[in-house]
Amino acid sequence: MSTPILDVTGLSMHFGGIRAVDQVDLDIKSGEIVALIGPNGAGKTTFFNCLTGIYNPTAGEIVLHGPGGKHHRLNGLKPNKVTEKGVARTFQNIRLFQNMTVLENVMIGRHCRTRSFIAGAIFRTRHNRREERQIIDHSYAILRKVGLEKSVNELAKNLSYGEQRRLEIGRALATEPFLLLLDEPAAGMNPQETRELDGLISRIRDDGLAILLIEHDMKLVMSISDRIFVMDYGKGIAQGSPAEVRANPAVVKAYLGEEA
Amino acid sequence: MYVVLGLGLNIVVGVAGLLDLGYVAFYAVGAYSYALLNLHFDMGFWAVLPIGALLAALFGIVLGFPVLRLRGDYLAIVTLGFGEIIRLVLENWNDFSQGPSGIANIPRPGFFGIELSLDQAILYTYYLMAALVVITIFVVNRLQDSRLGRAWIALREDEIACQAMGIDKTRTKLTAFALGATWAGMVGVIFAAKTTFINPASFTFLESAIILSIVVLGGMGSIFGVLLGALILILLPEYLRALSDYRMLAFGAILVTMMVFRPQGLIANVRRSYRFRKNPGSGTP
Ligand SMILES: Nc1ncnc2c1ncn2[C@@H]1O[C@H](COP(=O)(O)OP(=O)(O)OP(=O)(O)O)[C@@H](O)[C@H]1O
Ligand SMILES: [Mg+2]
Repeated sequence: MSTPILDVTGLSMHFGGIRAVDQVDLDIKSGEIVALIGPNGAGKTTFFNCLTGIYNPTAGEIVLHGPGGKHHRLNGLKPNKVTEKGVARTFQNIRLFQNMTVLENVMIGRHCRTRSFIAGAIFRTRHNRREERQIIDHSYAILRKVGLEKSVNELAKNLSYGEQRRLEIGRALATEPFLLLLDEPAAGMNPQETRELDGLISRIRDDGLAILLIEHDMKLVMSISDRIFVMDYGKGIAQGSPAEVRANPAVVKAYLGEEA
Repeated sequence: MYVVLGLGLNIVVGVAGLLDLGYVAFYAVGAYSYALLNLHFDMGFWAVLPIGALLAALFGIVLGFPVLRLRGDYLAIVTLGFGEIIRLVLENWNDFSQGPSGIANIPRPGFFGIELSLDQAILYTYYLMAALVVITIFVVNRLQDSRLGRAWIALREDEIACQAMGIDKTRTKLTAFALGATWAGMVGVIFAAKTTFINPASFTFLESAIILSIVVLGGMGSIFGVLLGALILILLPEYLRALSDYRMLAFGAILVTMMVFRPQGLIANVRRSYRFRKNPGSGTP
């Protein structure tokens, strides 16, 4: 418990003159649920995009401490390589494979943990059939975990909003991450669904994953997080336990200032 | 023949969503491999078949490597250009390809060294073609229902999400491109053997367009769709002979209508469903 698994130091991402992320430090320890909050446009999603290789950060260091004491520098890695190292994510604007089934979406998540290629697909040796079977079983087990086992053969686009968010989480879990990044998983959910999500995230943590969560639903954030980081205008302005952050004048100002 | 070409291009366009307008170039590579290797080195049909396929795949990879970074329309334009370049090279590089006059007297495929009469040889080539159709359907079917095939479809749906799932985008696209090219190469070899004469005029953009129409008309990503599309597009011109001069016009009109009213094609690709017992007791990770 509580060995560090992610260390981000001085991370910056500039778009021309816009400093979307500006000298941010953040760390996550194993088994933690950490929330990243901040007003709209604070740079939270951009921060995720830097971690997952979608953007190559302007400056800073991202170091991942994998299981077995392996250290990986994530800067400049391609997104698929980051996923291979054990970091998975969901997207703020849901990016499911809409015309594939629910099960197939999760099966795609198994891609980076399986090997079959052209010859395997055509000749279907015993080994390949076994691998395919394992992909299906594993994916089905994940769908049960996220509560979508009734919709395995539905097309992803026919799911409700809340279900789509859960499917994205399931798809990310299929890549066998030890760090899971969730970008506003409760957005568009009703209170009932949000409560279920709270339970799901806690269960995922209990399975031994660390979670970094971007979320605007403060009730969820406050109840579930071990620690909270706050960003505003690209900068990290506060961090601490939920109680500390709530009492922090800089945070109150950032949020009230936004509404004023 | 168009069936196999359609199915091959279907991997690239229908399944992986890469709009390739120069598909006929790979077909030409296959046909000329056989014609030239036979002319200069006296190589037989069966020896060249894999070589032609391999050469086409190689061309696919060499072209695909820089080009697959482009998206959608840009990819279409570059592949279109590539198709034209291959044709122009064949037309103008006389020493290499005998230019517009083409290459004649290409032998038909051999049958275990037995001499076949003309009729027999034509029939034999026809059976070969039919066998290739069956093999192609089998292979494409298996590919679609595999880890690789799923990755292609997913890439067509959302590239960024794919990468976040650990899929190597360049490698996966290149595989689709090269496989599609392989098939075109094989058909090219058979085409050369069947007609015994090839020249660059057989490999114009119009051919690429027809093959693409088959895929689009029949249904992107659907094998049955492609079969139906090929049937319609090959037979229709025969029935429309009366309209002769307006044939291409009718062609275009049909395609545009399709795009507007049924963009998924005549037969839409249906996703496979899986059945599960309530409790897959063992094997739960
Ligand atoms: N590719 C880009 N090019 C230019 N500017 C960008 C780019 N991506 C993000 N930005 C800018 O960076 C800033 C931060 O955006 P970001 O999406 O990270 O905010 P956020 O904290 O996720 O907001 P929200 O809560 O609304 O999701 C915004 O001003 C945005 O316009
Ligand atoms: Mg965001």
